[in-house]
Amino acid sequence: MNSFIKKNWFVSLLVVVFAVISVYYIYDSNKGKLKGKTANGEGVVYSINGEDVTATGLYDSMYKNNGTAALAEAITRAVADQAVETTDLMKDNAASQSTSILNNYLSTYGSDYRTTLDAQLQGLGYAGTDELEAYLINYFKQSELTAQYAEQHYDDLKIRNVSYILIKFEDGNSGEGTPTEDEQARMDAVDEALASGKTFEEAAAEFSEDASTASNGGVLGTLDANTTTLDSAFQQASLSLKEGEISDWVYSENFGYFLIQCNASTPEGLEAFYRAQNGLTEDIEISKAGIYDSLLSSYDTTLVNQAIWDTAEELGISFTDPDTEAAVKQYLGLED
Amino acid sequence: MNAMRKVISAGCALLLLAGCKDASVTLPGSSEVIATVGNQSVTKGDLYDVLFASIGSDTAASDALNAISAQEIEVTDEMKESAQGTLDMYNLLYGDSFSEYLSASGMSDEDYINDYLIPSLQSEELVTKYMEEHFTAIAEEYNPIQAIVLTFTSQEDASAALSALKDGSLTPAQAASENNSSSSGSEEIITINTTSYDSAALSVIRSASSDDGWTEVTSTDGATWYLVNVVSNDPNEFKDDAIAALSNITKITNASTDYYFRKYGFHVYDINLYNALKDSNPEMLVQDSAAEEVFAAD
Repeated sequence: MNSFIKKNWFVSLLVVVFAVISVYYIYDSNKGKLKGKTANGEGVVYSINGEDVTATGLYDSMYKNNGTAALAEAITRAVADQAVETTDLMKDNAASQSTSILNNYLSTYGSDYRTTLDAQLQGLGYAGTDELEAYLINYFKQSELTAQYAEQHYDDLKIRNVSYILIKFEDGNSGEGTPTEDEQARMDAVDEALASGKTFEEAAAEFSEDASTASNGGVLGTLDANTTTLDSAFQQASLSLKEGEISDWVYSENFGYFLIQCNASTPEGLEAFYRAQNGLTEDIEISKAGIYDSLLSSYDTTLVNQAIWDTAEELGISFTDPDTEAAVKQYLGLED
Repeated sequence: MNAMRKVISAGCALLLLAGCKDASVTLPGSSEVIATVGNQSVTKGDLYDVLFASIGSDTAASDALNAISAQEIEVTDEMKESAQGTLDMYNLLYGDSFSEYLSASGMSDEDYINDYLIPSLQSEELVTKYMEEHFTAIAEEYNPIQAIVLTFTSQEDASAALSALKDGSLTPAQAASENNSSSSGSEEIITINTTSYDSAALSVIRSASSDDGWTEVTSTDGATWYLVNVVSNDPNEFKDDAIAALSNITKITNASTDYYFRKYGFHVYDINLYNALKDSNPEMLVQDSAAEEVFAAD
C-alpha cells in the first residue's frame, strides 16, 4: 500500500483532497435536515415520553376526530364529479367567483393569503389554491345534482314557492286565534286591496308588517316538506296550496296572521317564477341550481346528502367495512 | 488498482448521502381502498392527506399534550363531575344532534368523557401546576398585587366615596354604586400587564402597601378619578388568585409548554408535521435551537 502511495503520490493526494471535500459537502448538505426514525419497520411521526407515534397511530387518531366527515366529503366530491358534466356556465361562474375569493383572502390575510387558502383547500382534498376553480366547480355540481334530485322528487317533497303578508298581533295580545278589532281591521284592509284589483305583491309592499319581505313583494322563497325552520302553521298552509292560490288568513301563535300566495307548485311554474323574478328571458341559459337555490341554501339544507347518496347508489357505491358505511350514512343523516 | 477502485467506490457511496431530504413519513397501506363510488376510489392515503392538511398538527399537538397531562395530572373526582356536567350541558343544548354526532364518530358518552373532556381538563390543570412550581419566578416577573380599584368620572363622587370608605359607613361595592361608579368593588389582581387603568393609578398601586388604606388618584388627563386600596402585595398571600389571573398570559402558557415538552422529550421526525407545528405551535418544537428562538421572540 505504501509503495503504491509513493509511486502514485499525486493521484493519492487528489483522492485525499476529493475525500475531504466530499465529507465536508455531505456534512454541509445534511446540516439542518430533519432526521427520520423508524420503529418496527414503520416511520415515526413523533415521539413523546419515549413512546413512538407512527403514521398509522396519527391516522387512527385523526380518523377518530374527523375521519367520517372527511370520508363523506370525499364521497360527495366523487359523486358530483362523475354524475354532473362541467358546463361553460359553471366554468364562467367559477372563474369570476375565484377572482373574488382571492381578492377577499388577499385583503383579509395579506400577501401570505395563499398559504391559508392552500391549507383550507388541502383540508378538503384539493392540492391547494391552484385548484380553487376545481373546488368551486365541484360545489356547483353538487348544487346542480341536488336541484335535479329536487325536480325529480318535486311532488314527494311538496316543493312550493310562496309569498306572504303578515299582520302582527296587537301589542299585549297573546294571540288566542281570534283577531282583535284592530288586527281584523288591518286584515280587512289587505282583503279589500286585493278585491279592488291590487296584486298580491302590491298589497304585500303596502300592508305586510314584515319589513324583511314586504319590500320584495312578500316573496319568502322555496320551501318543502323537509323544512324545519319555519312556523309550522305557516308551513302546513303553504304546502297545501296550488300554484296561483291564495290562502285564507292563517293564525300563527308565534307571529300573527299570514296571508300566503303560492307562486309555484310545479317544476315548470318554479322555473317561470325564477325567470320572471330575475328578468331572465327564455333564451338565457340558467342552471337548475339557480332555480332551486332558495330551497337548497335556506329551507332544505340536508337535501344535498339524500341526493348525493341516491346518486352514489346509482353509480355503484361500496365500502370495505360495513361499519364505515353505517357511520357515513349516519353522518349524512340518512336512514340505514 | 484494486485499492484505488475501493477508494473511489467509497467516495461515490458517500456522495450518495449528500443532499438527503428532510425525513417524511409515509402511511403503510396507503393504497388500501376504503370506499368506491363509480370509477373512483377513496384510499386510506387519500384520507390521511386530507386529514393531515386539516387537523394533522392539531391532533398531534393535542395527543402529545394529553400524553404529558396524563403523566403529570391525576384525574380527580371533581374533574369527572365537571366532565359529566359538560356532557350533560351539550346534550341539553344540542339534543339528539349531539348524541348522533358521537354515534357517527363511533363514540359512547363514556368514550367522549374519557378521551376528550377529561384530557382537556388535565391539560388546563397542567399550566396551573407549572405556575405553582415556578411561582416565585413568575411573581417576580409579573409583580401581582391584590387591590380594589374604584373608578369615577367626577371628583365630587370620588371624594364622597372616599369619605364613606374611610369612616367605614359603606363597603367598597356600596361606595361605588352609590356614587355613580360602575366598579364592582371586588378585589382584583393587578400585574405588569394590566392596562385597564391609567398609568397614574397603576403607579400608586405598585408603590403602595396594605397599610396605606384608600388613596385618591387623578388620571393623567384629569378626566378620571380613582380610589385605590392595596389589599396585599405579597403574592404568596393570594397565590391561587394570582395564578388564575396570570394563567392566560401567552408567554406563561408557552413557557409551560416548552418546559413539559422538553421534560417528556417531544421530538418530531416528519418534516410535514414539523412545518405544520412551526406555523401553529412553535413553542412545542423543543428539539432544535431554531424553535427556541421562535419561542424567545414571543
